[in-house]
Amino acid sequence: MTSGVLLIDKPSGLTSHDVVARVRTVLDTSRVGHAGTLDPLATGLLVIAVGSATRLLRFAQVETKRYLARVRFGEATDSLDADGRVVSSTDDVLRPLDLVRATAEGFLGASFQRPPMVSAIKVKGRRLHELAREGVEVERPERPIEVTRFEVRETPDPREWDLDIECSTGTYVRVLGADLAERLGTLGHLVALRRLRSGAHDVTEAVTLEFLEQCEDAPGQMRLAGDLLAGLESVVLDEIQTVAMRRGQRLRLEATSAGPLAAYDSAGELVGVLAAREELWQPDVVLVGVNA
Amino acid sequence: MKVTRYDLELTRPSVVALGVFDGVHLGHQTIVRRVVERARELGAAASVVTFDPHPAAVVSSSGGPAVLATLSQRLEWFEQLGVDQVRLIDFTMDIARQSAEQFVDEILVAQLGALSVVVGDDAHFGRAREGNLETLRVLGASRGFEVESAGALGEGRRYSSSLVRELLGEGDVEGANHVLGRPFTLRGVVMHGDARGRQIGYPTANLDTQEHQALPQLGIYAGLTRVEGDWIPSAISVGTRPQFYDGARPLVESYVIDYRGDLYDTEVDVAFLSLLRPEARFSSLEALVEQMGRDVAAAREICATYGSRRPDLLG
Repeated sequence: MTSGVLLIDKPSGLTSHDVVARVRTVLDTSRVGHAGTLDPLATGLLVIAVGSATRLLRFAQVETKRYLARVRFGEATDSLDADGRVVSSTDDVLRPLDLVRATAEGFLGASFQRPPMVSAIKVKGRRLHELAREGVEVERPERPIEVTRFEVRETPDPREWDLDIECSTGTYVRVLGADLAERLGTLGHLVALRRLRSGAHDVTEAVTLEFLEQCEDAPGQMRLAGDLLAGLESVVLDEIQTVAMRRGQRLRLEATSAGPLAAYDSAGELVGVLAAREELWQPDVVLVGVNA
Repeated sequence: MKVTRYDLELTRPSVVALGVFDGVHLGHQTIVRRVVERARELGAAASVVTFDPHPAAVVSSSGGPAVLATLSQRLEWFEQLGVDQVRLIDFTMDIARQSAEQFVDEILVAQLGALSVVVGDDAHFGRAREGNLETLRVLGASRGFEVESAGALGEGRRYSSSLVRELLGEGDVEGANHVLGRPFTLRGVVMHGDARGRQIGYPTANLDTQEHQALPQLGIYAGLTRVEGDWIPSAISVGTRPQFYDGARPLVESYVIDYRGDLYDTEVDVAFLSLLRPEARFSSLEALVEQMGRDVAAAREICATYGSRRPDLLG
């Protein structure tokens, strides 16, 4: 039974789900899921879980992600990227590099961000992009975000800027691009977006779909399922604890964090995930057998 | 650096430099450097798509323009610039008939996973040179890759491979070297000649250069010859000797100053620094030997000014 993590460098034009569908075909298994959606226009790192590793996806929420975005000043679109319709435009687009940099620095640190109308977030049980299609504008609660890097680089086109952004999970880079334009007294939307990092994973470790489909050992491109749990505190269980956990029994353990914990056996195999429950640690996910 | 003439098994998408890049002059270097920089930014592979043989040599009945450098030299310069992989396109008549769109879809998108393509603003590709910067931008917009042009570079006249050929043809080696960003260098294997030089005290290495190699105007030059990694001051003759050789192909001979070893059948590089004098006929052997003494002295001086820089390294 194949199980593990695949790092895919998504091409532009595919939805994250399209990527999952192609991975299903290559590996001939239906149990494939992804962490952190990338918009169709976007390229870069998409973390894919295969087999029982899909059960670990909900723990794979990493704290920071890094993107390279290209923003074009002069036009606002309804989706805030090049996939949307232009809703307004201006000729007042040229800004000096120093000013763009100084304005970008103003985004650093913790703040609140209003999700874009075209997004997968649900408000009162309806997805925002469905409501947007019907022309309904709804109240969207602001969400806390943190920006830890916001560097600006020139591009060959004076209306366009490259934004090297590191931010907390859940931050909309599209919104940062449009807000940057707004603070500079113009309009803007993203023309390109590429995810460079997600937690500990870097896009340079990812493979293309074409490579995965053509290479002779597609399952060999997978990493261990435990890769998804890099953000969790890990514990090593002794033999008795391992058996107990596999049976679903609660364990008494020393841990520094409030959990959840990634639990490994003495041979370094991932046993599963433990969650704190009344002074004890209760198995939340248990993977079956070796390389389960 | 990975080099392939076939489909690449690409693990990573690419930022692509597209062009013939004959001679890898300063304009080409700007394009390739930009590709490497952009690839590092995007976490992609820095790729060069280039042609061998020169497209014009396939489609033109005259065999196209003379080439400035061998494929192996071109590849070495790409590697120096930080390129990760090179996709060589065997420029057969088949690919010459491919439309610009087919070329983009098959090579740039499917094989290389292009995220970004950088070309000179005078680039042409596809059947009958139908593809240009504008077509590439239009195709890029629908295929999801960005297109950058590295505008024209040069003072007065734009840097180009044909400008280098022209300057070499006038014997203006300094001018050609300026555009190239390093000395013009011939690569070839030392072959057996008639040993006439040896008889008059100046044994020379006769260079067997590639077919269609561009050469400087006939004359005597100061330069450097690379022997087992060391660059040694040399007096170089580019000349014709119709009484001994058939055809009009000039002969390149390098007198490697103070070198006593045997170079036969080894590959050497001969770098040109400056024209000393045009080719001349001498009334006597004595007069020739005397002139050669002066040529060698002048070559030593010019090489001393050039110092310990290495002609094979890009500036």
